[in-house]
Amino acid sequence: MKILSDELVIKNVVCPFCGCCCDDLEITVSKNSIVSAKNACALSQAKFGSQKEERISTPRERIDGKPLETNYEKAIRHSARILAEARYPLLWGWSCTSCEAQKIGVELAEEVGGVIDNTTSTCHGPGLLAVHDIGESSCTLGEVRHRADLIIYWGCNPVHAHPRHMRRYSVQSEGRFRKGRKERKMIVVDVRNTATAKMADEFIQIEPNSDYEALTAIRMCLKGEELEQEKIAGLPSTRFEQLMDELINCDYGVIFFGLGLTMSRGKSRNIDAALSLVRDLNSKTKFLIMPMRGHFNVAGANEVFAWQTGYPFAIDFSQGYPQYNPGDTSGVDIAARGDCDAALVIASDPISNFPLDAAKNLSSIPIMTIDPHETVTTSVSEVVMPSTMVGIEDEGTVYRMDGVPLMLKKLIEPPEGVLPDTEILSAILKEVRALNRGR
Amino acid sequence: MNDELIIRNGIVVDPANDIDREVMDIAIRGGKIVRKASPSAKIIDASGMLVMPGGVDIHSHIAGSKTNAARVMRPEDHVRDFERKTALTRSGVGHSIPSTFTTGYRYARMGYTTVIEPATPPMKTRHTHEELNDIPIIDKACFPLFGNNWHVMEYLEKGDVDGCAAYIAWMLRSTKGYAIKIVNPGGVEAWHWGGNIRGLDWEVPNFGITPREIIRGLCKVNKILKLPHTIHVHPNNLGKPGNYLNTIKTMDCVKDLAEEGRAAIHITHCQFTSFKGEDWSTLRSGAEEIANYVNKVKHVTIDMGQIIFTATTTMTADGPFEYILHQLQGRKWHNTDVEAETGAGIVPVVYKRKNFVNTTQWAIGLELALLVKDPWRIYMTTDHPNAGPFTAYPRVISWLMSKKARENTMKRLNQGAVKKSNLPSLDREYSFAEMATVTRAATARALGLKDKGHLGIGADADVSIYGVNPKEVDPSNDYRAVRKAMRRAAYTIKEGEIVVRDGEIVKVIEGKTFWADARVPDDMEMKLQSELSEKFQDYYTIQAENYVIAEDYLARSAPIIPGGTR
Amino acid sequence: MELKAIVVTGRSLAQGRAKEKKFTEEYRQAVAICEVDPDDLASLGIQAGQNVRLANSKGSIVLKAVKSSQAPHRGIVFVAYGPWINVLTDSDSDGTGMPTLKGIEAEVEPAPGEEVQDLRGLLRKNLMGR
Repeated sequence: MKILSDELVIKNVVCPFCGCCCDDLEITVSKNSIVSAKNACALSQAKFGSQKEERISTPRERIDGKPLETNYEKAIRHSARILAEARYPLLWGWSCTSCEAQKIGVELAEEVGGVIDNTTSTCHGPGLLAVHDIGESSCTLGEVRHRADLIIYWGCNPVHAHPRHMRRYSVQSEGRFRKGRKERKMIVVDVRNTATAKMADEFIQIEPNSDYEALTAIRMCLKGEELEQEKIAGLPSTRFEQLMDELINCDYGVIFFGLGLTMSRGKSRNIDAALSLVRDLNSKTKFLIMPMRGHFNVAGANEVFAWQTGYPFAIDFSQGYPQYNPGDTSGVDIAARGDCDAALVIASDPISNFPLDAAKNLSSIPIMTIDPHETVTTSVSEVVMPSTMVGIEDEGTVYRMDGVPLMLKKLIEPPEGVLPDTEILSAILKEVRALNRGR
Repeated sequence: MNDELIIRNGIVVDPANDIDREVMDIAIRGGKIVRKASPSAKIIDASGMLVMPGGVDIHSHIAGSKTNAARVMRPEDHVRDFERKTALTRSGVGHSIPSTFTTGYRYARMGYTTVIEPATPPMKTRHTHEELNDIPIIDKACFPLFGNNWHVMEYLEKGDVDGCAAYIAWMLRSTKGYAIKIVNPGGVEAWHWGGNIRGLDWEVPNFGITPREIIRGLCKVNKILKLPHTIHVHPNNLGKPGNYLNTIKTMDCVKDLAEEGRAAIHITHCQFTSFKGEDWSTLRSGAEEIANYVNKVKHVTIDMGQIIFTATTTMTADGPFEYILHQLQGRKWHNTDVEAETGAGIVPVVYKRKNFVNTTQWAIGLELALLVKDPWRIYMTTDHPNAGPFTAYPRVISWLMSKKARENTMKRLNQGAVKKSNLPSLDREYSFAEMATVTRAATARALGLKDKGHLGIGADADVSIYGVNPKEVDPSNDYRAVRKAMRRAAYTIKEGEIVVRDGEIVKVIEGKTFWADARVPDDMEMKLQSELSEKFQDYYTIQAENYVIAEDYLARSAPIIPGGTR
Repeated sequence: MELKAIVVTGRSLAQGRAKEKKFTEEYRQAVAICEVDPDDLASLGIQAGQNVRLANSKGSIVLKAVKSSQAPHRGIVFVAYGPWINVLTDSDSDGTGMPTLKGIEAEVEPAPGEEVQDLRGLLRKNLMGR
């Protein structure tokens, strides 16, 4: 750490934005402000830059339909009362906060007999559903950097969503056995010619909603089956024969996939096909696959939930023990059916991100929100509790997209009086326990 | 506050102190065994009950990246085996990959008080510690994996054992690990290219070193650092018919490095590497050959890896083995290669009674235990969950102590395999003292945990009391009574606190995490730091600073100073 | 002058940069837009920057059409995640937990004289029925 007048340079900072969790950031702080962020991509810069914008300064409660400023004590008591009395509360979000906070969330959900779900549900959940069936041949990102000579981005656009991914971990990185871009081949499969596709050696444009067919076609070629159709996924079927040849002739291939696979028609079946393809490819050459996790700690939410309850998301505690059935116990479905009668939302904005009918149902029940910033959800919440920004104003553990755990640092003090998630959640839990004991 | 306890009139089995079914009192104060307690001590009436040190499990995959990947991959494992939340305990799920709270409760209910997670990838060991922090009651430690580590292979290839020692010391301090774990040395690095290593003298691609050199080098490092436990080895060729020869060679390859009175190598889950035969149809037990070797020498310890007939999950750092298992059986397969270090694979498995191979495997584990003469050098494990869940330990105990129990089980197995096995002819039955040795006294000693595994003055007050009278019950005939009693401890005492009563959790406390605070002289340390700062960024995608785990990350840190007293 | 399109929602750099400040004009500019293939713009008879209405069985919304930099992708319209496009997305998760957020069918037609709603107005209308 260097000190230059009243400036401090903090090194090896882990970025709290996307699943890359780049840990080489150098943040200059001065007078309790972030002055600059070296090595930070555009998204990261925006996050550090947003540290002072749209912050919620004090807790709010809605009394007689009007939002009124209050204090933490009242807000926490109000929230605890709602949660303790709710028949089927939903605790949603979790992906943009620390593991330490996520653990308290699980305990709270268990205490109130509610459902805890994280944004995996609306992101890479389908991938996990496929993993339950197939498993997954994967690695940490350094393995890609050291060994991969063929890298495929399927249904994702890292230039926009994971800007440093290619330079730090894949096509443009330098590894022990691959010295850089020249020693690697890059293929992009997508429905449009994205910024990432423009950088590829080969861009394969398939029709929307045809990923399952495309992946299956490659698998069929791999198994020596004949493709009977002339066109598959909008391409001549011979294209898949060619692609299969490229895949088996590499030394070390990796598929990175994104929401193009998880969200389009087929959902979990698309990833099933991708995981199966990679598994099959291992009989010919070394091949791995990895989901491009969007948020900096959605992987952490899966890990924490899984070791504490056995399941990675959509966990229902209403029977007193963990139950898991995505589609039934998942956030969007519960909201769409109007089953939940209260919601605790943390580090997420479901009113903005859920399809409208689900958002509408959610907004008609009492919502308690914990967030540093004003969001669409805070604007319709019954109770709003501001929190610190983890990774900037508070430390915490996070998991990178490949499962590598890292510690976020505290760089500056939070705004006056604002508490960390962990403290708010602990206080709510304590209050809920007291209420439950009193019953 | 009165933290005194007297366990009155129990029938004590404490092999480390040569106590074999003596009626005596055990006094506890301040979490330790003491000579006497004051009259105001709380009394536990242990009349007619077996009193032993708390169980010490030397090898059980309970925490970390691959354990959790297995949980995620296998929701079906949890669905029917769950525990509800109670006023005292958290809810959770069980069977072969229990959730963390459930893991702690289930071990405690069986009277176990210390459990080792035997294989953690150093780069992800922060994850292991997060899970260990969430396992209640029991004390724990974890073994970082080194057998495929780039730094290690390079140091040893150059012959720089001192440099390697400084590196290992730094790694143990940085990852808060306890011992040197070696899994399929060189083979996992080969697997990162899709290959494997099939012999001690094969060369690891791109590294110019052999498994023999890796094992010997790390054995020397272990001696230099005076680590509390010997090198803990999962040899090459695990799961391959005929591999017993390689196992013996592996044990033999460090014989000349052995120090008087100390083990130089521990072969773990030895059942999986005691296969004779050319292929699955000619599979036989190599247990006799292995046991003969172990009996002849003094420098080797092993643990069983006993098969249980149930559906369970295999999970190991031996990535290539898991891929082969997946191809053999077709079940789903999870793989994670960890950069510059190691890997992991996970495949569900079912051990079937009527299956020739599984029956042979089952027999091998027991043959090892019955043929190795010195109970201080063979430990009872199921390599949880690879050969079976740890909740099956009472069943294994009944097989060890009763020929009848073995015969009863054998009746229902593949008779072709039974006929070809030695096991029916083995009459040996473990005594209570021997059972206590292989489940607590010997394992604690092997781990260098001087205050565990015995009930002498100054020992940790980790005590298990079982509802079986070892002076009256004949375990050979009445093995069911022994098994039943071992399933649910009448009392489990941890650090002087009663945590289990009649098989139920009555108090939840937090256990300690042991780690080896290994150090080298300053000049060696400085040399290491300069080498690391050059190489670290080339090898890893995280910074060295972020690789290191701070001590306060552990819920209750308990460093052991190697070579010294605790 | 109607386009039967497939709507693909997703992240964009601009959306990512503004997502912590959703009530700002910056966010609206980043998210209340749809990227249209230039040939589709022509067949709709509009210029980039003019408003279009997207509609399906779930609802309809007015967005500003911009020229896509990721063409060609005729018949596919890209809209960043957010409250505007969620008027059209489907909460039916096919039993997976994942609502349908990509590959959604919608009709696109020019919306001359119609404004892109600001976020507060959108919420008032959709959530509170005002």
